[in-house]
Amino acid sequence: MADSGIKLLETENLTKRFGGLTAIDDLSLSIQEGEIRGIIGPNGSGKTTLMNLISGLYKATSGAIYLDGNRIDQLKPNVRTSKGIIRTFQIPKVFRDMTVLENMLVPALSDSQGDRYKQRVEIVDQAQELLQFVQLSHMENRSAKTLSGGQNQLLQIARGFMIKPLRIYLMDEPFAGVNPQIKSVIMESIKEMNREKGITFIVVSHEMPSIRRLCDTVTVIHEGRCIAEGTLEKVAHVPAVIDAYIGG
Amino acid sequence: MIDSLLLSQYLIAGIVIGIMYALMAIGITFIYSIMKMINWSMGEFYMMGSYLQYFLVVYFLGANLWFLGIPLSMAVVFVAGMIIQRYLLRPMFVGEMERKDEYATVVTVSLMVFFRNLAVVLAGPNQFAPPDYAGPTHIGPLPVSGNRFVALIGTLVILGLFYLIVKKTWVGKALRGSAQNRVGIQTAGVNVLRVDQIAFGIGVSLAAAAGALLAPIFLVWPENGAIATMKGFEIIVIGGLGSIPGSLLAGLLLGIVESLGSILISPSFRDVYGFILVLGILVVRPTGLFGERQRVA
Repeated sequence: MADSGIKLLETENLTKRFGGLTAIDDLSLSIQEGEIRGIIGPNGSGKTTLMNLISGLYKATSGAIYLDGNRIDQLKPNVRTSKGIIRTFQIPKVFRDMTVLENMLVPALSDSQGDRYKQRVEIVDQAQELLQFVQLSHMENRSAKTLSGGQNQLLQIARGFMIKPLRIYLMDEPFAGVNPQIKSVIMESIKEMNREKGITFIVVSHEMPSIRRLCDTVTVIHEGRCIAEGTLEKVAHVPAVIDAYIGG
Repeated sequence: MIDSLLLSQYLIAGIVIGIMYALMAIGITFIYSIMKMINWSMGEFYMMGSYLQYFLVVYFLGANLWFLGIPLSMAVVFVAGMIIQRYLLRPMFVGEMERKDEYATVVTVSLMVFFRNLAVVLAGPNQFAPPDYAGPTHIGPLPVSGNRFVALIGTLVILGLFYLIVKKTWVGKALRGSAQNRVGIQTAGVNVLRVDQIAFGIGVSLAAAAGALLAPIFLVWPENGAIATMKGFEIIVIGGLGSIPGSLLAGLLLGIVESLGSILISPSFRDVYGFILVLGILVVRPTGLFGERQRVA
């Protein structure tokens, strides 16, 4: 789905300091509804900190974050989730001692999901459909701790799709350390959910081939600042980007 | 030569007391596993449970309806725990507070001192005993005190209910999710602060259940929770902090060791046997029987 031109998420002069270190420095971003935006940058450039700020795990030192024009940077992480901001982590945050299916049911416990007791059967059906979608349905009764890293990444992504409403999905290094087959399932899931459901994605990744296939626009972050924005081909020729990557 | 009947009797007594110790330890470890804090005032919630049971049985329910006092005491302490968590402990999880452990220690140690003194002010320093729950009975051929038998059955019922809530309900899923991955549960949309509140309420109500069940055996007085707390922490070291099966097994082990030590060596050093067991476990397996090494990412 091409972006709609409607601003869904914005950051305005966002800054995050950890003591003397400025991880995000006066960063202003604008993400359009229906877009798949890539965020790239060298290690330590502030990509994951940005994800943590948007999802509410960190509080900004200054600046603001808006969803649909409403300020959200003072909200708790679970409240942001209930407004449709979902995220995954590079090291999957699965519930290791639960089964795969139980992991999928956890988002049904959130406040935004209405009367879960009446909808129990539908919730389980939906979870099973999504497990099939990410090709994990044959493992639904297995403990999550028996899954490989890549399978846990898939489980984490599928669990995010359980949350309603889902407006914007933040994915932090979804392709890191996963085999090509799982990588392809993740790519197809992102593309299909974007095309069919209109979900907006922000994908943080070092995998340039995957970013090229998924994203029309990428934002390059270095030392907490946006140093370039545009197509991957365009930003690859920006001198500041070349300097950031090769340390010029 | 020790009589085998006497040995069996002590063994059963050890198992009975061990399961009751475990109830207290499970309360402590349950709160720790979810909130990642030690509640040093657990003994005072045990004490509250014992006082509530005593006053309910003596002044309201009567000796025949003693069994109603136990869920009522648990319910009152559950609500008190939720309120205490909301106003005194939740602030440490809101914002980016540093030194959470120190905050929790200061608050819960203060609660310990406060509740002990409150009990003295309200009920005096005297010891009370509710009427016996049951007369002497037998487990197989072995005679056993009725109060201990009732406490054993009551503990097993409460542990069974606890298991069902944690394993089979939606609330239980949220509790387990919070224990397994606190960040993951928040980003799945669950209000972890509310889960903390429920967990704290359940944890302290388990301590209250132990206090209510053991009231006729260990009596009711302002500092009666101190021994139960000490045993609870011994069990956690033996079983492993955060492990509920570990607490259950360690409770049994501690009860049996204390009981057999009393008959094989001397009952005067009953508490010492438990500490020797703790030291032995610390030497062989510092994380406890079921404890896991934690990796700080």
